Amino acid sequence: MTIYSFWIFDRHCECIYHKDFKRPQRVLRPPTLASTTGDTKENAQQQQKRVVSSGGPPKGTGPLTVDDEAKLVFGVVFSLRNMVTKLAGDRESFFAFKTSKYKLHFFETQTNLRFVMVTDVRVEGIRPILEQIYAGLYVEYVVKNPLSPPEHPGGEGVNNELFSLGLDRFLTPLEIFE
Amino acid sequence: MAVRTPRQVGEDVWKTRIEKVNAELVTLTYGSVVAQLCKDFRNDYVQVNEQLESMGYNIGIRLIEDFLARTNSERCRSFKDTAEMISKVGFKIFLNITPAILNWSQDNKQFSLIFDENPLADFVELPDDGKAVNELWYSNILCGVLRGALEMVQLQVEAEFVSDVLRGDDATEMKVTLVRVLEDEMPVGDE
Amino acid sequence: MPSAIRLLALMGRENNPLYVRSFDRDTDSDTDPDRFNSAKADLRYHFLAHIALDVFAARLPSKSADSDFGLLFVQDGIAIYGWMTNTGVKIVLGFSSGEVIGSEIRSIFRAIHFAYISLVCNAFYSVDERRPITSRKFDLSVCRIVEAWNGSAPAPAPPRMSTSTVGSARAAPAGENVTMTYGQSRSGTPVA
Repeated sequence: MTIYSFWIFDRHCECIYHKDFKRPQRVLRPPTLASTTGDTKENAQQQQKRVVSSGGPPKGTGPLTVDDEAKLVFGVVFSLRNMVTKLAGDRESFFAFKTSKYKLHFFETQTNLRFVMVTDVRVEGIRPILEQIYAGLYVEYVVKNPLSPPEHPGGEGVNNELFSLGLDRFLTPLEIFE
Repeated sequence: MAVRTPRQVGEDVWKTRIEKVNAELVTLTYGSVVAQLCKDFRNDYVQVNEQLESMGYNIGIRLIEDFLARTNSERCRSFKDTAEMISKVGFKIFLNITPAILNWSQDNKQFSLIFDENPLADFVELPDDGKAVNELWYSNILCGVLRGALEMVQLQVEAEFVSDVLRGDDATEMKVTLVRVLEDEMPVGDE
Repeated sequence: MPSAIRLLALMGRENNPLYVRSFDRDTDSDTDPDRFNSAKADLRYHFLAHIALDVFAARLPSKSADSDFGLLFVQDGIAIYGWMTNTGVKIVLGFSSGEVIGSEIRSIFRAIHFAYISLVCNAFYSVDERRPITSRKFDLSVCRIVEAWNGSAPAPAPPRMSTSTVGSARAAPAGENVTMTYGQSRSGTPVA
């Protein structure tokens, strides 16, 4: 079992935090970048972006930038969530969906913060984990940091060391992290 | 699992999940903020009120996250539930008071919070310049906190004090009015 | 029936008068707003308060940590008792002498000290040593304390202080008086 990636979207539908974990089958990654898989994630992301900016918008199986991926992920969870509430009423929400390759878990706070975690298909019931990330890490290190801005355009204020480290420290020992 | 009343939730969270801090520290800190604002704005109390409100707003939009994280509460079904939540849980866990909810309007969109006690205003005597008593809402920060916090859970409200014992009124009363329920924001340029 | 309080004075650290008030009654009416006529007695009481300052100064070098200065002197049929806070504010009480006043007197000093603390805690009060106290709230609480002592009325409920918390708020449930360091009620056990 493993975690592939983790996302936070704010109430303005913007991705304010993103972190990739082990992604063995990042199928959309272009072959030119294969050599960089050992590098740090930031590095890889930057390189991806550079590739995109020089090579124009991604087409077909071309590289997917983090921004594009964020839009896709958000689009999916947003429509699913809306569909669920339309079908089953306001108090209903969806928790996860599964494909043959991965499972996407979703948790939304009443303040419309959305936490998304993409994991292995076998991972079950990690809603409490998402709730804990919200209550124990996000609220403590982002919201309660008086120097962080109240809104986080472009992830400003969220991507701080305490939060990142805290997240790592919290997720790594978990069973689902493998 | 039995549904717990807001009062129980409030008591419970207050007892087990809140770190307590000395009341005088809070009272004196808030007091010196207000006094300093009065000095900075040369006793233009209308501006001081505004300033306090906007400080409260900034607190509110953060505090609501803490509130939700601590209480794990469900979304309120009606504005009446919201009022209960504010008084029995919100004020309880942050200030250890439970203001009474009174004076509901016909359309259930407006109510009053009556503060029997107000930890912010202990010791306070408004300046004797003949103006403060008529213009300054000493605890106006609370209005901002409510507005900010509720806005984050998609409720746009207006909150204002209508009387205050510090001014010599019989009770301290804050009116809270629901303006509208905000829609969720849609992603921009997403087709 | 203990001796009535006839004078209350607070003197600042610089020995400047902060508050001098007489509780001599001109009338027997409890409702007459002018029942404590200060103008007439003022000068005499200012004298007494200032004499007290000399006694404070004289005793201070040999004084231990305690605030209680006990009986300072008796003059014009008024027994003057003193109390000095750690910040150097002196509280002077004048009783019509005659009866011996026991250690209960400490409680009333504490109550007045507490009233002073509440006054200072008001954010709008500028702690200015030079300026005499003009606060309606302080007037009222002092008046209540003294009247409770002089009359047979029960002592004022102990004010809250210090032990309460905010959660940010206070821990004591509404309506419950927090036991505190200041202002025991008169009938309570004297502080050792």
